[in-house]
Amino acid sequence: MINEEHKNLRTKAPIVSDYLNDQGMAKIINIFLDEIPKRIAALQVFFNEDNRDEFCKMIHQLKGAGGGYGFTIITRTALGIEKKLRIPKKEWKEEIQKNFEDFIAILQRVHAGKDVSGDT
Amino acid sequence: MAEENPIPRLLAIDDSELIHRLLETRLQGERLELHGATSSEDGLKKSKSLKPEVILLDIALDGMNGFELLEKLKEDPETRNIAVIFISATGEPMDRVKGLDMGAIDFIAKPFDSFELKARVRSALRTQHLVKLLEQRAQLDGLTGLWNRRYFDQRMIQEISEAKRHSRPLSLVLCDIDRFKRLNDQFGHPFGDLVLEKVAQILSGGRTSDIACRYGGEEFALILSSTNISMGHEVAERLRMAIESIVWPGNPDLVVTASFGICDTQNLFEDITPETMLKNADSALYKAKQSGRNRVESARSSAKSTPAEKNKSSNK
Repeated sequence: MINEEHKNLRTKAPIVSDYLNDQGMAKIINIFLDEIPKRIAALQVFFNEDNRDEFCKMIHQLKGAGGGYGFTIITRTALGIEKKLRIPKKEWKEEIQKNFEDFIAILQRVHAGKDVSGDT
Repeated sequence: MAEENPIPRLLAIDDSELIHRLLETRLQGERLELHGATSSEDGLKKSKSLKPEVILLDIALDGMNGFELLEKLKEDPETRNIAVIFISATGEPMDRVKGLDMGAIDFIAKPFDSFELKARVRSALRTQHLVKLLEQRAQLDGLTGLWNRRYFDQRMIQEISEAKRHSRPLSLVLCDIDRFKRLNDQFGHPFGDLVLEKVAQILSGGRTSDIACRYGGEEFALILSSTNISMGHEVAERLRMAIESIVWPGNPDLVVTASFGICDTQNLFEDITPETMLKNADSALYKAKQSGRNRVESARSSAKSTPAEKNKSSNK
């Protein structure tokens, strides 16, 4: 099961929102998708600059919001990172490196999903 | 006395714009006014100024976290009765326990289901509405429906504070039904109750801004905001005449009268307290009684007293 999920994370297939057909959500989902590149860039800056506090804050926010926008995979993956970050470690970056790469890949696939669902 | 049913206000305090957008979309169509704050400081400020019915409060906030903010809200009498629902991505059961033990009424986990969110918000609003009704009921006089003495005491403190802050006048009127004991003895207590009810109707039927309270027994108090003593005197005089003009069922020749004492904040300077105002209004009322009843007397000598001149048979 874990292997299967891990394999799925490594695909490049676009991910679309569970609320794809929810007209009321279309507008804010599009804003969410438009802002993904900005969030990826910010996460990478925090990570590279060793800014653990801001990094954790953004991961926590995406964990809380992802599912609400119909992307439960964002919530689930962010939770995995957050769990690892709970134990304060000096080498936190090494600890989460792999999970972070997976998370970025997921965000990129979610962003790519915009082309699939169409900009409504 | 029943208050209108305004659209309830909900304040969402969360540092994530993503959550604010989501709440705005998901709560669309609900009968509520949604406000937002993205920091705990702004949230605390808006809690005091808006006095929302419900607050949706995130735990992970910069500066003061959600628990610390809740503590502040509970310390302040102006915000302690706001229903707080924690809305958080924390998966820790102990966080939920801590929040509920601190006085939050509910907990919503992020990411939230929109139907559950709406149902929990509606439930909190219903509870708040009932709590307010109960609070209001506890402040009403059972017989007359006017505000009771407890409410009067609280409201006087508020009104004096507002009058001082905005340098505006405030008048207090005390009204006492003349020879009430005699009415009870002569016509019976049910009639006495009817007199109290009718007088209360008149006192509460004046200007909408006036606050009519049953002070105790056959004595009533009227708080007149932004009203100086001469304006207050006119108000009291109109009420006095209205009471005198009531036609009593089964006793058409009976005239029930009331005496009024009035004072205002002028000349009290820094000594404006509910006690000083009550003392002054009570002295004026005593003067009205001593001067023959059925009249309005002011605590300030410059205000004119108005003796009642009526041909109808009086109960004096």
